[in-house]
Amino acid sequence: MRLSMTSKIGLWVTTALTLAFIYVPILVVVLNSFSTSRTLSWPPPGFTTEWWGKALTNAGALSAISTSLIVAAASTVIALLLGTALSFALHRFSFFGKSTVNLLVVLPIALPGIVTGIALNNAFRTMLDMQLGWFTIIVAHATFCVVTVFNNVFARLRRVGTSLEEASSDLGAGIWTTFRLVTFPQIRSALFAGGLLSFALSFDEIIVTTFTAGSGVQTLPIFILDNMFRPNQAPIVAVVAVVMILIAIVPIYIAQRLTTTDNR
Amino acid sequence: MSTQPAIRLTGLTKSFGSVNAVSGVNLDIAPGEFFSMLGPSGSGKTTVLRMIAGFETPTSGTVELFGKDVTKDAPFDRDVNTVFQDYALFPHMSVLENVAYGLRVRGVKIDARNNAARDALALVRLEGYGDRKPTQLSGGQRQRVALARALVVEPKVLLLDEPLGALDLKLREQMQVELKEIQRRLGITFIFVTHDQEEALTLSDRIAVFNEGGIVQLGDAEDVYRRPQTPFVANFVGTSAVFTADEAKAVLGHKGACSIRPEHLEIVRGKAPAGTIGLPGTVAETIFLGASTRIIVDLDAGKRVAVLEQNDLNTTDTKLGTKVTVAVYPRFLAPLT
Ligand SMILES: Nc1ncnc2c1ncn2[C@@H]1O[C@H](COP(=O)(O)OP(=O)(O)OP(=O)(O)O)[C@@H](O)[C@H]1O
Ligand SMILES: [Mg+2]
Repeated sequence: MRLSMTSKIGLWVTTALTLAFIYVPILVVVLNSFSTSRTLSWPPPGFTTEWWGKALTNAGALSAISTSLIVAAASTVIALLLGTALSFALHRFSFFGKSTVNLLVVLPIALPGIVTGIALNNAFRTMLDMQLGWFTIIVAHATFCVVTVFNNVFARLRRVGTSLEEASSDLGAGIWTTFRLVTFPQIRSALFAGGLLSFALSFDEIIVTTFTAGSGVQTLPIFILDNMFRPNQAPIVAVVAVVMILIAIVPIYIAQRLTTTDNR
Repeated sequence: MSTQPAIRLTGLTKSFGSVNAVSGVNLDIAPGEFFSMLGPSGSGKTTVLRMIAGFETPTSGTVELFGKDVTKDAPFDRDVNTVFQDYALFPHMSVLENVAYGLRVRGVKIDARNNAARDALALVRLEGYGDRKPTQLSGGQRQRVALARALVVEPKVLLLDEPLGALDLKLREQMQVELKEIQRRLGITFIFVTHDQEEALTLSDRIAVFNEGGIVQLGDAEDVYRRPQTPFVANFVGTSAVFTADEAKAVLGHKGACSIRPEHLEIVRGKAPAGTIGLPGTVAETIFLGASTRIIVDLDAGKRVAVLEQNDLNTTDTKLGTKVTVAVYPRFLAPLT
C-alpha cells in the first residue's frame, strides 16, 4: 500500500501517542522505584536504591511474590492438562451437545471477573463449605487459565488436521508413538504459548482472587493494593510493580515469538 | 499362495449418515498389479482407499489382504501404505527423517534406517535432499518424498490417492513414467486413484470405473476404452456418441444401444465407402486441436455427433454449414448394456 506523506506522518504520530499513553505511566513507576520521595511525588526529588533493598528484604512482599508464583504455576499446570484434554475431546470426537460444551468452555473469559468471583465465592463457601485459601484461589484461576490453553491448542489442532496422524499410523506407528513423534511436536508451541499466557493471566489477577483468597493468603496484586496507600510503603510497591512487569513481560514476549515463528 | 489376491473387497459399503459414499463394492486385485480407480469427484474412490488403509471402518463388507481379513485391524497393523493426496509430510522433520519414519517406529537403528532412507530417496531421484525441510521442496519433490516414505517400509500394497493431482502437466507426465517404472521394478501392487482418464489408461493393468459409490466397469485400458458398457463410461472415459436402442435403429439401422468414438467416424464427400453406414448431415462447428480437428455434425436424422479428423495430408476442408456425409464403421460400434 502506498501512503501519502501526510498520512504517513499521521500514522506515526498516532502510533507514538498510543505507545506513549501506554508506556509513560509504566516508566513513571520504574522511576518512582528509584525515587527518594516516600509518597511517589512527582518529579522524583532524588535517586536511591534504598527501596529496592527494602523491598527485596520485605517479608510481606517476598511471600506475596512466592504465593503468586505458586498459584500461577499450579493453575497453569491444571489448565495445561484440562485444556489439552478438552481441546482433543472437542476436536476429535463428535457428540451430542458438542457446540454447547465448546461455548461453555470459552465463556469464563468473557464473563466479568467480578461475576466469576462472586459465583466462585458462593460456591466454595456456601455450597461446598470450604475454607478460602490456596486451593480455592488455584481452582478459581484455573477456570480462566483453561480457556487460554484450550483456545491455543484447539486452534492448532484445527490447523494441523488429522492427516499427519493418519500418515504416521499408516507407516506403522501406534497411538502413543504417533502422539509422541507427530502430534505433540505439532502442538508443543501452542501448549507453551497457552501455558505462558495463562501463567501471566493468573499472576496479575486481582478481582477473582479477592473473592476467593480469604484472609490467609496474599497474592502479589493484593499485596500491592493493600500497601499502595500506606505511608512509607508506596516506593516498595513501585519496586514490586517493576518486578511484576519483568515477570509478566518475559512470558508474553516468548509466547508471541513462538506464535509468530509458527505462523511464518 | 500366488493365486491369493493381494486385495479382496467383498460387499464393501460405507455410509456417512444418509450419504452412501460406497455401496457394495466387490473387487479382487492381483499381486503386482497396477490397478487404477477412475471416477468423477465424489464417486467414492478415496473412501474405498481409506477403508483399505484402515482409516474408515466399513458400514458393511470386508477387506482382505492376501487372504487375511483385516476389516477390523488398525492402519498400523496393515501391510499397506498410502501416498496421500496432500502428501502429509511431517513438517517438523527433515526429508530424511520423514522417509526413515516408518523404520524408526519399527525400531530400526538410526544408521540402518538412514541408509535405507537414503536408498529410497535415490530411488525417487532425490539424493542429497535429505537435510531439507519439506517446506523447502517443490510440489513434485514433495510428491517423491511421500512416495519414498511409503516405499521404504517395503509394503506389499501401495495406495496412491491422486498423487499427481497437484502437479503441472509436464511434471505429471514425467512422474507417471517414473511411477510405472518403480512399480515394475519393485513388483508392488499399486492401487492408483485418479479422475484423469488418460492417466488411468496409460498406466494401468486394469481400471475400475467408479460412479456414485460403485464400480460401473472393470477391465483393462482397451476394454474400458474400446468397449464401454454404459453411456456413463462411454463419456467419462474419452467421449463418445451414444445411441439409445431406438436411435440406433432409426439412425444407424443397428440393433441395440451402442456408442462410437469420434476417431472412429469419418467425414466423406459424396458416397460413403463400401461396408460403412453413411449418415448425411451439416457441419455445425469445428474445433481446431492442433494435430486433429473436432468436427461437430448435425445429422439429418436429428442427432449431433462429434468426428475427430487427423490434420494430415488428406484433410478435408470442412467449413461451417457444409453438407457432409459421416461414415460409420459398424465394427467400431460398442454395444451398451
Ligand atoms: N467424512 C465424511 N463425512 C461425510 N461424507 C463424506 C465423508 N467422506 C466422504 N464423504 C462423501 O462420500 C462421497 C464419496 O467421497 P470420496 O471422497 O470417496 O469421493 P472421491 O471419489 O474420492 O472424490 P474426489 O475425486 O473428489 O476425491 C462424497 O459424496 C462425499 O461427500
Ligand atoms: Mg478423493
